[in-house]
Amino acid sequence: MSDFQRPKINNANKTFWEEIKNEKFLLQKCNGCNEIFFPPRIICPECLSDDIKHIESSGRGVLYAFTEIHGRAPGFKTPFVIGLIELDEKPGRFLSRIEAPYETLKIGQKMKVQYVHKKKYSVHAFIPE
Amino acid sequence: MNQEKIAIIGIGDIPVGKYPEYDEMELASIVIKKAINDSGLKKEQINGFFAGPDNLVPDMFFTAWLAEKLRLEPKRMAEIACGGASGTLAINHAINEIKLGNVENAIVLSTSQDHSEMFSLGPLFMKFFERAIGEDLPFGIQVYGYYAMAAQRYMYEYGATEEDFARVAVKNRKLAAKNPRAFMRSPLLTINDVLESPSVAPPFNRLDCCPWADGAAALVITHEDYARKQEKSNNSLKPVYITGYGEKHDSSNFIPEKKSISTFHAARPAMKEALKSANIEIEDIDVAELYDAFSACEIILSEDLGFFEKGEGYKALHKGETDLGGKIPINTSGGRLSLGHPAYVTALLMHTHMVRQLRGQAGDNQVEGAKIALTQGEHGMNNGIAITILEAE
Repeated sequence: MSDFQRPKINNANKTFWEEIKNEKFLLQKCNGCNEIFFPPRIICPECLSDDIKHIESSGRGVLYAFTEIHGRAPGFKTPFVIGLIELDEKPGRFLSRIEAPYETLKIGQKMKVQYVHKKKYSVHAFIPE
Repeated sequence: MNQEKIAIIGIGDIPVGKYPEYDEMELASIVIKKAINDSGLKKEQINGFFAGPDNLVPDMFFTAWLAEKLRLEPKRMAEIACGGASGTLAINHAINEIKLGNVENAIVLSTSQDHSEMFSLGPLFMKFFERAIGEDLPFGIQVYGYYAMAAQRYMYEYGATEEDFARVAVKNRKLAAKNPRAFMRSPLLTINDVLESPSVAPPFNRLDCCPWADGAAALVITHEDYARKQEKSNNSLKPVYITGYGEKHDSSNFIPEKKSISTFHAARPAMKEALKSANIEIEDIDVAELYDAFSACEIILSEDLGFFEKGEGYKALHKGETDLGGKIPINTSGGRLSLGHPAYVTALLMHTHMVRQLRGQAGDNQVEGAKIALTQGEHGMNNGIAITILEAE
């Protein structure tokens, strides 16, 4: 039973997870069409270009939706809060752990990234700003 | 669809439940036999065999092994996988092969043993999902967590409450109680029962969530000409025609990145295509089976498919418009919530139930005079939707 699980690394997300260790939250930006996107991919989902660079996110955004997992979640200590984050750079919303009591959260509230360093890996989480 | 009509002339299923003593091959054999018997055909007349996936981790030879067990010799065979829409997609494949003239009579099959261990983040589930949602997995997301957030947004945007969602579970249990093929037939539920059941992920409690179960179902599908000949020669039951089909897949599988998550975006275009191909209006539909894997889904789908305006579905439910005797009875089988949800079989169970409705064999849940029925399969979080329109003669 643990709080998190080790991220699964592939070509697309290797740099992202490495930089999380350095407390940097990277997005990708297509040099072809300027689309900013996340999670990491090896091809731009908008124009299919593979000319992609990493850009650093401000790590700030808003909480779009959230819930607290009480049901079956093998391998994880329950309950825990998850939510969908919309970053200011608008890469598309994505899932994250939320490190705040469920009862205190509100849709639309401002959030910022923080980092959790485990022995063998690091992950991000979001907290109210 | 073009003018050629395709008919369902045989159905076979088993009550949804737990069958630990059977394997999936055995459950499949049982329902195939039932469907062939119901059609009045001889086994040798079946020359198309199409199936949904046999398991979360397919063995790649499912239809071939089954053909061996039952000594079938199909001209065309395929296993078609796209989550809970698989069964409907397999029907579409059968329709196309029949229309192309490659096949006369086709079996469409789905079978499923309880996947509950896999669908909460067990090791197999991890293997299954890590390619797709690898960036979500460190945080312990569960499939029901995605749905819970969609339901939360729906409440936030349209003013629905947990009580409104609970009403879906209450209605569907009441309908399941009268369906001998349903898994959860008792006890009848009150709104409080649902609200007081253990929290799974707010706004969902346990009774807002479908129970996993085992199941199997098969259909015999054929061309109108064969159907009529069969009806005459065998004095068998009147065929039910598949008159409309619509399908659409959003670019997301669970969480749309930029569009609202309180709307299932594939619903409207799939419905539009289905109605157009059947040449009917939505008001013509007498009864509908929707994919209520979670209580809120039935309400959201009833709006996104166009039965009610956005934000009006939970009010219509409250007024009884989706109950038996209402404007559009929804999930008269008991739905996923109480019929039970053998995931890959659900789409075909919707068809066996609707064939019974259109044959006038739905017992206490019969919609009087039902002539036109709708079924809706889905994958992801209803991000891909496949619809059939079925009609009695």
